[in-house]
Amino acid sequence: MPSFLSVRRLSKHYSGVHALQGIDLEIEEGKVLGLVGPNGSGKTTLFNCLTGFTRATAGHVVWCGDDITFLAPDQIARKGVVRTFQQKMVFPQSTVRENVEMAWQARRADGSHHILGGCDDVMRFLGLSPVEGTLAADIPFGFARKLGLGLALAARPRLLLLDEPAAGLNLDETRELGSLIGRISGELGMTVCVIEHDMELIMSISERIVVLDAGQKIAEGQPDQIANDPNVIAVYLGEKFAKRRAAQ
Amino acid sequence: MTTAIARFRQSFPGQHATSDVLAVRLPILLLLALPLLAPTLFPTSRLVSLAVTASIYVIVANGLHVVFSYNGQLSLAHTTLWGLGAYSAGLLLVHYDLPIALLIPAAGLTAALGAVLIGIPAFRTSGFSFAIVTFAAAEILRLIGNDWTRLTHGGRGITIDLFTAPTALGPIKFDTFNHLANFYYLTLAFAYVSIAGIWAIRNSSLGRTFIAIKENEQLARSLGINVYFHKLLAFAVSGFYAGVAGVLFLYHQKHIDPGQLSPFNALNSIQFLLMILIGGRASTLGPVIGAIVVVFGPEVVNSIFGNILTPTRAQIVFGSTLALSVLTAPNGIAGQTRDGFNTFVAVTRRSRERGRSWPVSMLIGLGYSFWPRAAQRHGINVRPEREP
Repeated sequence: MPSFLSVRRLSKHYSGVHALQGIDLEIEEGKVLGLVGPNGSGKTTLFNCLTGFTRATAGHVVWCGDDITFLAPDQIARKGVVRTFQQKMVFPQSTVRENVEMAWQARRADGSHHILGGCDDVMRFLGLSPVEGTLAADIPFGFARKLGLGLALAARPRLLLLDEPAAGLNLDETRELGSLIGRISGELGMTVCVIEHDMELIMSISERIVVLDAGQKIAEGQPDQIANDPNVIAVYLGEKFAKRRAAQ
Repeated sequence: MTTAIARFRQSFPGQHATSDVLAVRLPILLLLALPLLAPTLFPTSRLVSLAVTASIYVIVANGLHVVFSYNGQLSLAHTTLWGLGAYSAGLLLVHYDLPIALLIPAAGLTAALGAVLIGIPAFRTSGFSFAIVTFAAAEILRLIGNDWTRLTHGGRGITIDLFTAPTALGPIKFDTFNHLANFYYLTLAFAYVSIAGIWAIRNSSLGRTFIAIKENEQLARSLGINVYFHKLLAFAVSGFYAGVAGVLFLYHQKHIDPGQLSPFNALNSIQFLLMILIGGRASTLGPVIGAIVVVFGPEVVNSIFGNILTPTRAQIVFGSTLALSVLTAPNGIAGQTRDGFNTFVAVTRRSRERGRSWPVSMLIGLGYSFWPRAAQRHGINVRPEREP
């Protein structure tokens, strides 16, 4: 049986800078995978390679048995791998509803009956209905983040890649986002891979965590294993985090 | 019926009631019908001829609207696509004597094909590079028109003889010598169809896709939209518009050559961009208003200042007025009018709520409608003007 998504020895070099160095990664269907690491460790580059926005220098990305390494972003999205962006995540001069509609119609129904029946379902799921008539440029940042998520959901992915979905959110919003991601995985049955710096969030939602540093995978495992991994503490989490976690 | 009315009401910005919808849509429809009266209202055939030109410009500008305003691509090849339509029609006419009913789709498709051929390399780039590539492509086509003498008759161009060329569509004659009004109605019909066409595109999922690409290409791509294909499609659609306008232009001018003043000159593309900017990028009717202003504006200036200014100076006055209008109304005439009207309604309503009488309220509203920003300072928020 082919695996869901597997990354095989993926490398990306930018004239001398080795953004990714032979990454191996498996994403299991139905799980939430956390992807963490210091700035510049190659997390977003990995996402770009998975979704076709960056062409890998070497290695392969295999999605449900198909090699998608060199497909265009829109082809990959139509196959069911959809990502969000850290910035510029919405269509600013369109209303929230129009945003979701654009995303919805971009991918034609593939016959499988999806649990989200339409744009209204997407907006209700995310609590965007109250602002559906507002221009996306005018809604508060927290809503814009959710709308970015909504666009990706409206494209009805099987694998959802979230690039720092909590960046810029306050505590309450982050907590809400955490439960949303849980529901996306649980209720909608999507597989989720999250890049995030908020360790509490990532520890609470992920079933497995992969740590990158300088373009290499330095650790992989359950959240608890990662939190106690001395190597990860040294390069990313820091002693403070480890002590605080031990105290809890 | 009631649900239809309710839906109609919802189609308008939420803050207005039914009466306002009629108050807005009805005058617009009446204004749109006004050009039908042009042949009876205009005293000279020269003015009718200008009205023909304006209708042709409306078609080209509407086509450019799809590429420039909806899809966000700055094309400088548009006049050349227009010329391509005219040339293909001219050659088909000279060599095969085809009736206009066949010329129009043929020229439209030729120009659409030309647009695709230009677009295939040009859409590898974006932004200003795209503009330059389209400009270069337009120049290449102009050079072909000039130098490939065996195909295009070279610098002499193509002259059609309307006395022998087929100029009737069924029983209706529309040669521009004896039946100029008929010809005007023909071009006007195409202008109306072109307006309906871009309105339909704007309100379809296709139009939304075009706009999505303009607003955020990367995001559109990440959602599964084939950006390259849709850009080509928008360009082909607008090429078709230009091609159709080319046939009408050819019939109107009876002659086409690759020279400075012909539509085959890439620099002329600027004037269609100007029409869109003056009329309003954000409105369906923007290019229409812009085309009318560009064609009839000089006439108006001449009739006012004709006695005191030389034609050249009148041109300067007209040009300065255009520059001023772009500065003061960045959303174009259409956008400014809409803002003004919304402000008028909102201010009048607020004033009524505060107990002033109708005439006074409307007077205040009218005053603010010329300066929506001042009303915003008083907390009156009209729906912000936006890109289409």
